[in-house]
Amino acid sequence: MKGCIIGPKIRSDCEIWLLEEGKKVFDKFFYAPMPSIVISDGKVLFKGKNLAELDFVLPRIPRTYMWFGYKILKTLEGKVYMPIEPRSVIVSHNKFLTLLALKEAGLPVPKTFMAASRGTFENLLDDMNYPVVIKLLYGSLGKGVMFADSKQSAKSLMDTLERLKEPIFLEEYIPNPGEDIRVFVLGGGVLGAMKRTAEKDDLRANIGIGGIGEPIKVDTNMKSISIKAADVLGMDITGIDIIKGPKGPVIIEANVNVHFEGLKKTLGMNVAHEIVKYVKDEASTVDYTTFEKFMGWLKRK
Amino acid sequence: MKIAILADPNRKSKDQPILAEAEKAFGAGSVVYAPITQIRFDIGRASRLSRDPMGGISVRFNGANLAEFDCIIAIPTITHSELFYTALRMLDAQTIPAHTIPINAEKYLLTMNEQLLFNFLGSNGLPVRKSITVASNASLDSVEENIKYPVIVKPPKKRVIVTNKQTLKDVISLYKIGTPIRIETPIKAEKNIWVFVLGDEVIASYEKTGNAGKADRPFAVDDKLKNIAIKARELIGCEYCSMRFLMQKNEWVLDKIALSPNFSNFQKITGVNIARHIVSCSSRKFKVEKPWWHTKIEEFFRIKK
Repeated sequence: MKGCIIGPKIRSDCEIWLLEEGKKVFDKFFYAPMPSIVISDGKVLFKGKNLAELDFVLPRIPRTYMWFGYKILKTLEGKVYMPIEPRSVIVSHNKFLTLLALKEAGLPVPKTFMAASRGTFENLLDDMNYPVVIKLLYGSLGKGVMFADSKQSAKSLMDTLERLKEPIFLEEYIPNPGEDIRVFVLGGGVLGAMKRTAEKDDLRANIGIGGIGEPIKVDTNMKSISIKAADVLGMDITGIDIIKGPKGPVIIEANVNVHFEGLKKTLGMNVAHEIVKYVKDEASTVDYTTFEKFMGWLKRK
Repeated sequence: MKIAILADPNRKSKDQPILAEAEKAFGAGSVVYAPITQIRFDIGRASRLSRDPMGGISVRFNGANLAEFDCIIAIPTITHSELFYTALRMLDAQTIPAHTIPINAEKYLLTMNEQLLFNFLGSNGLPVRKSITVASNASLDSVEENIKYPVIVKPPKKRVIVTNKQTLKDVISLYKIGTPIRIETPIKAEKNIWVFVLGDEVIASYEKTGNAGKADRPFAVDDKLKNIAIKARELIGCEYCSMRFLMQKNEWVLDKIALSPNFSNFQKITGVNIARHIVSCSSRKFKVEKPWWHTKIEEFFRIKK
């Protein structure tokens, strides 16, 4: 079986682990950095080779390559197995679209509001209950998340953010003791979960910015909403971030390019091995000749 | 009847014809011009006073919920494509989907990506412009033999002609890492034709002469071009769009598709008021697709102001 990881130029620890584990299992497994990929005449080429001739691709597409990654996956759709749908790259990197998709599916998410102009945002501030969370539309690893405890502090933050020229949105603040739960979903099941506690005086619990992780067993309800969230967003491999609010669990984020160093450290689990095993099982069950024909017929309809 | 025109404020003057036609058809008080940059997107109810069957998914302009309008005429542009996509997506998600023309969110996502759109149309047998897409000049070496200079380089919202490899690398390096950039071979076109297709008809078409001394002029499309244009529209899944065709060695090549037509140009050159056709399309869609029980359900769920 042959496949590749499609990812950024600089590999994170997760990509390196996946590569190590994949080489033990697959006949051919390599890393295709996106700067070296070309889309030409309906083909995705890496060093002149057509990636559609592989059995699978494992996308690790960061925000900076969102649109290019989407084009790559859309071009490969129906020709190779991939554990995420092409649209997942767009929807999951855009935090507002993520929450919209989850809300449409009846999943619990915070109230969220977006606008593209300062004037519209200012009118919105009058309607909000404080504190509020102000987020960059495309933030990651806990960065781009700010808290405003009043209309005045919200306006000051927006003054600063306006200079970045990055789109932002407002979210209701879900009271919590500075912790959230990262549920790792793999292939329609929960592989593991960890509770992340924020550093003192911080409300963001991401490990990447100093949060501390500990293993946790999630209840049936949380399992069920995590699995449904992954399904709604079209991802077989994802991390769903949940806050335990006063009225029950609330999903705050889904990660299409999920980092699992924290999970490995906290649960002592070889996550990369589990992912590779899953991809191997899935890629070997689908007949892409028939599937490709079906997709082609569906598109023409 | 209430109509909203969801548009890019940067082209407000270009959109005046459609605003004027809509006001003529439905009355000035029934038409709202809603710039996309002034739209508010809500997931969840900010105010406890509003009732909304979707539990608060709404697209609002000046407090009004666009889903309550009888029809929304969207004139999406590349500049705010993600906002337009979000708006269309939310309007499609309503319990009773809003009537949005010319396109829904999922089909719009395809048109946001020219490479994908042209791949799709090409795989369905249409003659389209060939191109390659890269995100970095690191990949150029692998396709060097396929690139014959000069080439047209198309990063988002721009178009540059480049005559050698070093300049190509320099141009690509100016853009943020990961930005998809298309590279095309220029076509020495014998003809440059814009057509406006609505439904199964080519409503108007003109030839751009590109010649300072000669004005652009109306053009009579032949059956071959008409069939390509109509098939393209059907495949894209929109009610209407404008398209540019180039003739090369007596064959047509589809070069561009636009959901935000240049109303004034079409009218000035061909005498056809495409804005009026679009407005008629909006009222036809409303009348055809709303059976009596549908209207009753809408009234039941309508938010009382």
